[in-house]
Amino acid sequence: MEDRKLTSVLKELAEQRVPEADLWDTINSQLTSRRTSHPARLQFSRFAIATVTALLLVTAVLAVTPWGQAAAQSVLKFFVPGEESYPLSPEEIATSRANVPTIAPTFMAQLVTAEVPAPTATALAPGDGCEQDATLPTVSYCGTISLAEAIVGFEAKEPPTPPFGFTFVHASADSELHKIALVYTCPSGGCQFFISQSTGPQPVSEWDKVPPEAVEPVKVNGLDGEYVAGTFILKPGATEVTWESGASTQRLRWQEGKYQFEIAMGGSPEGSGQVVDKAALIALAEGLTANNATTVVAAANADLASIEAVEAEAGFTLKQLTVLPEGFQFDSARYVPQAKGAWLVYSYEGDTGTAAIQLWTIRAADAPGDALANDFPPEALQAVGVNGYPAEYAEGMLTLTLDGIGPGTPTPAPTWAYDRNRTLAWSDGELRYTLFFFVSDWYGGELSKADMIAMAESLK
Amino acid sequence: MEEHEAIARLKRGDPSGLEFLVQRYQVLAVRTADLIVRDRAAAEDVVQTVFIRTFDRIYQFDSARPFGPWLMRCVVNDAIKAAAKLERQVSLEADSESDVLALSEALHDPTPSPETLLEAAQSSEQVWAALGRLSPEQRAVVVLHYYLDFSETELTEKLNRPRGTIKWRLHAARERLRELLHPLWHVEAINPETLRDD
Repeated sequence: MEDRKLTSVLKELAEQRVPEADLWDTINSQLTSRRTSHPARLQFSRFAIATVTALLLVTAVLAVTPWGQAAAQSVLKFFVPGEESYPLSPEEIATSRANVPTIAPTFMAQLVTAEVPAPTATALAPGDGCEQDATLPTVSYCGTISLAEAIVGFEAKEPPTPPFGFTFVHASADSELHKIALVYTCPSGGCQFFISQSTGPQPVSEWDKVPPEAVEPVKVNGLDGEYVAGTFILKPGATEVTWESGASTQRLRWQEGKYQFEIAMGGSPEGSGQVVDKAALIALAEGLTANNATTVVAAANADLASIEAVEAEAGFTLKQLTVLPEGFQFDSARYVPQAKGAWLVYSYEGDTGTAAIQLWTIRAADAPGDALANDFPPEALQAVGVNGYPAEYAEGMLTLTLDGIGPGTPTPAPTWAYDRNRTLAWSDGELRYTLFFFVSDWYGGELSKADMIAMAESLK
Repeated sequence: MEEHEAIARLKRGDPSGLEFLVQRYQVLAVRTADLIVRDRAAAEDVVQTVFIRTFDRIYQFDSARPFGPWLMRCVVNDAIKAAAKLERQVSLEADSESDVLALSEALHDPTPSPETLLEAAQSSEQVWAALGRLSPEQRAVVVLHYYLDFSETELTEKLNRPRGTIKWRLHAARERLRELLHPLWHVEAINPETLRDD
């Protein structure tokens, strides 16, 4: 059936089913009756504000703070039934606004001279211990899982390797709630991933409330579990938060004996080539094991090393960006021994989840072939030059969206999306460079091709 | 009264502004909602709710932008929710299944007449049945794109989703429709002109 014919048939259908409509009398009577009453405004805690603002930030905050986590007892086994939408007071809205995503670009980023990176602290390096939360004295962030386990008093289950190729960030431990959360992040910085487990009664918070119809019963190793894809968000201009179904926030909860488990995924692993869906989360849950007492997962936390330390490991000198978009600053460096390459990471106002510039450097001899050919469709690549060297440039990113997928629908393949993400790859003969500009909806800026090239040519 | 004047009145709390907008958009709004919700009464409920919310929140509307798309976005979003609720309450309509089966049987008749095939290919009932087998979100994208003639860019804006999401939804919806209406697509692919000449 041709598109035009489908349009024609739809119009015919619509006219047949609804030849006319006259709603005004009903609407008017409802408006009239409403004016005679004053419905009470619901009062919500400050927790609600934090819960509904931005799913990524909310996920990040809630999963590591004690008030943000609980296993509720209700008609649902592991979540608490809530409304699909609810209003916020003007004060709550004002507080929330700062975290509402921008969605569309609102300005062209301006390049400015980059500040010379200060010597980087190596906080939370393996074995360095735990750091107490500044405002929550019962919460600590540890560089290894075993350190966190010592605080909560039980051995946590963990995956054999960091899930989906994500990077382990830390293990948070709450000594009061006997709760531990293993925190991971996507390579692109566009998502956060948590595996939390607790024992004993937990407080109920807004984080636990979901519309009952959003909950899917599942089985985890034969045990009852619940899966939810969605979150409450406050859309631009809105005065009430609404439940937004979809895969951008996914949670899986279940219980084993006296331990309550939650796996939470906030944001999207777009560009990582990973499919993180319900089946993947269940498979991950079923593969968790408590026999990893000797696993030093926190070794991946070496991305907090200094540039000098990374250079020493890499065996080559790292050139650094000397111009950056306004608001960006050096964040961290990391050597990847398996690939023999190094990352320099620049974050936007200290948050790589908002936007990040990442420079991958590797010896040309260790990276033969076309740098981008495997991960980018040919039509997305443009030939450009960097300091006279041939280069490849792309706008967009492979995107995998699971929204709207239901039983019986196939798992989609990633598709190329022409968005604000940018990539530029070139080689000077000795070293090969790939410069990535990652953005989330929380960053309103856009970077041009000329700016990407200017940044690349600023390497010193 | 012009639309901008109606909106100005509405922003002052004057219901006559809303009445103008209801009269102008109600038919299109109910038809749109009905294609997604697949229930006339529920579609009217959706549209009534949207108009009442419009009365409450017209201050959020940027008067420099066209009102119609803004309203339809609200209608579609509410219709998706209403459809999801309805579909949880009732399973797939029995006649949807039987329609598709009947069509399939007719098309596998070894001696179908061209008229039969053409009639089947043009059956709005079959398209209706096929639409019913899409998810509410997929139906919404089909309705926005094919009924309301929104472009992919507009879909991105109206549905407040990344372009990749819209592309995927549109693709998924089209493929699902293609699968459900496979005999129809197949017939046209074989010999559409002959059928039309007949």
